[in-house]
Amino acid sequence: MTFDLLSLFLVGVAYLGLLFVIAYAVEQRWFPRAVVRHPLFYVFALGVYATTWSYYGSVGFADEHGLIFATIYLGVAAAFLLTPVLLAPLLRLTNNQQLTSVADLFAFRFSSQLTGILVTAIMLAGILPYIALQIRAVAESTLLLTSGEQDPRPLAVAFCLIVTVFAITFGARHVTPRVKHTGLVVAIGLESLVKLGVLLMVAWVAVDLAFDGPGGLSAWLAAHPEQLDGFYQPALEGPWLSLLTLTFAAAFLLPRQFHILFTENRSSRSLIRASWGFPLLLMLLALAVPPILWSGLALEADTAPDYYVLGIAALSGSEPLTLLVYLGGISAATAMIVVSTLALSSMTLNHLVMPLIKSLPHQEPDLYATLRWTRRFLVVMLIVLGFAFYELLDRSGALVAWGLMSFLAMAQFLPGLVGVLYWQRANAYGFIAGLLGGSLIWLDAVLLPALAGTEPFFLLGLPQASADGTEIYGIATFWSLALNALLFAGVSLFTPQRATERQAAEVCRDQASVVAPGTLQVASPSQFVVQLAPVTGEEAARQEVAQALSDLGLAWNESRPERLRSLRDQVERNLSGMMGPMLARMIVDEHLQLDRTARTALAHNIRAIEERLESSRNRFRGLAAELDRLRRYHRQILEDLPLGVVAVTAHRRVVRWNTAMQELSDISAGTALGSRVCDLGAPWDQILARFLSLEQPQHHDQAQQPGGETRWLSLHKTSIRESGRGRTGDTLMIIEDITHIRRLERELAHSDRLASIGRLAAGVAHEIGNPVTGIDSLAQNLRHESDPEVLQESVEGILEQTRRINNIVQTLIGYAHAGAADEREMGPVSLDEVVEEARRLIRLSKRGQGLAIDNQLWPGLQVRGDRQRLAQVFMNLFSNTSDACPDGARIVVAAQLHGDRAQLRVADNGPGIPAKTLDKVMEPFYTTKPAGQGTGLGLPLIYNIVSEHGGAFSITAGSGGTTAWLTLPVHGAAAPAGRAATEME
Amino acid sequence: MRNGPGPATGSVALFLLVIFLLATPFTDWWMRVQPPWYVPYLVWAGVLGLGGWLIERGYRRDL
Repeated sequence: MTFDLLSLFLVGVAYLGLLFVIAYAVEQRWFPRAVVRHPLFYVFALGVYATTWSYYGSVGFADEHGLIFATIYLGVAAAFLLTPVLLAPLLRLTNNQQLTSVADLFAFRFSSQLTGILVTAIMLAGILPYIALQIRAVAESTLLLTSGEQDPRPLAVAFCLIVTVFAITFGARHVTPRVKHTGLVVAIGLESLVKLGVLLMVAWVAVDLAFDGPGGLSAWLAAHPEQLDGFYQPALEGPWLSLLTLTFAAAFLLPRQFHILFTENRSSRSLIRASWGFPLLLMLLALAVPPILWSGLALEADTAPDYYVLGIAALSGSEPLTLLVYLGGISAATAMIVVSTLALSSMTLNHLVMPLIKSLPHQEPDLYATLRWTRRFLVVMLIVLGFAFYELLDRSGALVAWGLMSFLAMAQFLPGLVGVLYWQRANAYGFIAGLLGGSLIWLDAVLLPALAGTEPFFLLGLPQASADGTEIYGIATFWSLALNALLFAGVSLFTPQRATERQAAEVCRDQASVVAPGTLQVASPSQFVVQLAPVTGEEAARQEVAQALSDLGLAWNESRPERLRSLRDQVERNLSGMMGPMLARMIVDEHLQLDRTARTALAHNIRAIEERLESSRNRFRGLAAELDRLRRYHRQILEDLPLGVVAVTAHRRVVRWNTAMQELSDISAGTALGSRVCDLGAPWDQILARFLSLEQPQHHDQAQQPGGETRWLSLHKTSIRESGRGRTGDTLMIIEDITHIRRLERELAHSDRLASIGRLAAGVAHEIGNPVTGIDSLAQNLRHESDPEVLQESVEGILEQTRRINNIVQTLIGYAHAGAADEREMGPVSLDEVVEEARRLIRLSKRGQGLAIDNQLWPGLQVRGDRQRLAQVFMNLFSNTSDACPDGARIVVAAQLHGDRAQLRVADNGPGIPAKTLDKVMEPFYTTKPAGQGTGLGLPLIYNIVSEHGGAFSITAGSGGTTAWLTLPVHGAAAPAGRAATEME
Repeated sequence: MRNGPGPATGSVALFLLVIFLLATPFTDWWMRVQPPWYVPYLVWAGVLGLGGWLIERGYRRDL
């Protein structure tokens, strides 16, 4: 059966066009998102592993080496069995750090641009024969169907042109490979489905054609025992174990595998599905190989075993089946070339081209345009180079030999991978030495003999190039990997490891970045753009910052330092996905610098450090796990403390805001952390700012909540010290909600006032009794008086006495009415008047009448407070003196100004207080008075009232009397000239 | 806190089983016995099924 070349060309182009339309439709979201992002497409897209080598060449491989053909599937299955300890950690690492290729991975781990360059160079040398293999398979299969004897090179050129257009359209559409190519994944997945379907169909048709069904195949095998012997025996003698090792490495290190597996991955769930789904797909592909081989042998197909798939389809006489088989081959080749060139162009761009571009003196500022056009150019160059390899390599050998060449190159990265995931001591010197050693053997034993016909170096016992093409891989695999691993381990152990490598090794092990010390010098996302614009161009800088803000869920007005640090890390990760980790780090380090000398650097980074520790906690072992438990315990103590805990930096940024504080303030930790104190909103901005500006470590304040409720607060603060550095300038504040205590105190104070009024009752009666008697006398005289002048005088007398009574009553009412004090606002209070009021009150009591009060306060001395409560302070002090002192007691009330505070002295000439009692007088309910005469609340109340006014209260006593000291903040300019610091003697 | 071995333990154990089947003298033995050609595929499918079950179970428990 033969086909017209033009027809095959048109069918091939139509098929690729159909795939393009599907990919385009997916990108345009014509299909439901849930469908196109289904893990099934991801699993099938991984089928890009099965190229024309598997599709056509496996049958030829099985013919020559029996069951060894299965190693190219079994090694992959073994690698995917290790998903939880191998692929899943790699996926987390590549996702977290935006590593898009094997070269990115190693350049990041070993923190070396040279590493990236070397890996890219070996990748290119290793994969180009593989691309050549695809070109050869398509050209040869086309020749088979056209029965042509002509030169296959024009066909190869035509195929290369089509694939180039396809690769540029598919792969180089996006500026950065971090953008998921959903359309590409779906199209590649469909291609794999076509490959699998066609192969299984051909196997079925072949068995039916050659043996009339599976029973016939079994009978044929029984009749031809040499076939089963030829199936198993080569595996016993051939490089079975070496090929398993090579395919194990190829499963995830081949650029196309790495790209689909990690770069195009959308979720860990997809990887879990792929861990068994992809090996199952490969098993089904492998299942078709032996029946096709034996059918081809039985039918004596006139094609080489490498093309039995096509030959049997042609023998079946079915044109549609033959075309399908041909399209399956096109699928396999196209998918491999597109994904490989996409991955390799990104790798080459990041590690070979971008460092060159950036080193040029005059750079094109439009980063996106540079990247887009460079990537397109690289895609073209890679396919051209693949064609060059097709021209150079010996085309007489089996397809498999070219593929194994690439596999052995990929295997050279296995020792380095141990360093990435498991061995932290490994360094770049060891990796480069190992890679060079192993690659030299690969070059000597495999690539140069194939390209230039040289002989392998005899000392290693490698067979001659003319020997079996597969046999050499047994020895070459052993020697290259052995030398590679030996150099890797030896050089790593005997050379120093750089700090950046250690840091990267920790990131690779713990999957969480170490927070670099220092504070960011830029203060807003807009400044990020300004800083990045000179290197990326303004448009790209703006888009990158916008993307990073979107990734983190932040806004353009973000100013919290730790969030800006996260933004910096995200920008670095995103740039890493676009231009490689080394260049991204260089740009970010240069243009978004950290001030590592800032004293508050640790405080700024606390949140980032905690987040990373949290994300790494399951990976801590031993002492690190114990330390983490201790850290969590201490943090929990702060979180569970029933007092508000707020820590602020020297720049007044909040770095700790515990649960109690969230409940007290109704401000979440997410909002408060990183914010400046002044941005917290009323009333907390003012309360905290006021307290921070005060010198004293304690303070009372009240917060007016949005609902109108007033909360009374007791605030304490202390400076935070850092071990070995002394004071950091940061402040820790403890905020206690004492509203309920305040209410209790008010009730007690009210009771105390009522008790005082009770004690005043006799005096009040006496005070009122005198004017009443006077009024009575005057009223009686009025009955008999007719002289208008006397009448007028009597009325005036009555009114005077009435005013006197009214004064007494009003004073009592004013003193007794304590209710609703919470709602009363603090205002300026004249201390002079307050003392006078207290004097009038105490005079109402019997004992108080003998009290001489010398009020030396000057009229303008004002404090901000509650007049009634302050009156109670003096009332209680005077009352104590009148109770303790004999008749003739004298009290002096004087004041002295110290800055913005007034220190008041209330001294009596009584017997004083014994030293052992003095310590207890501030305790509630402690009294020296007889039972029923004192509550023991007077002095504690004074203490609380003064504290709530932001003041201090203390008592000293000696043989000459007792002195109460009150310090209160003055209101306004309280000191008249000559009064400051002169009143007290 | 979950009980029993995690998915990593199961996967590594299964990997060791695969090593035993494919890279030890046992491999030579079963190849010399020359079982019917589909038997290796059946064992392969069995290992895949077991591996898939272990990893899926581990993933669900880690959710």
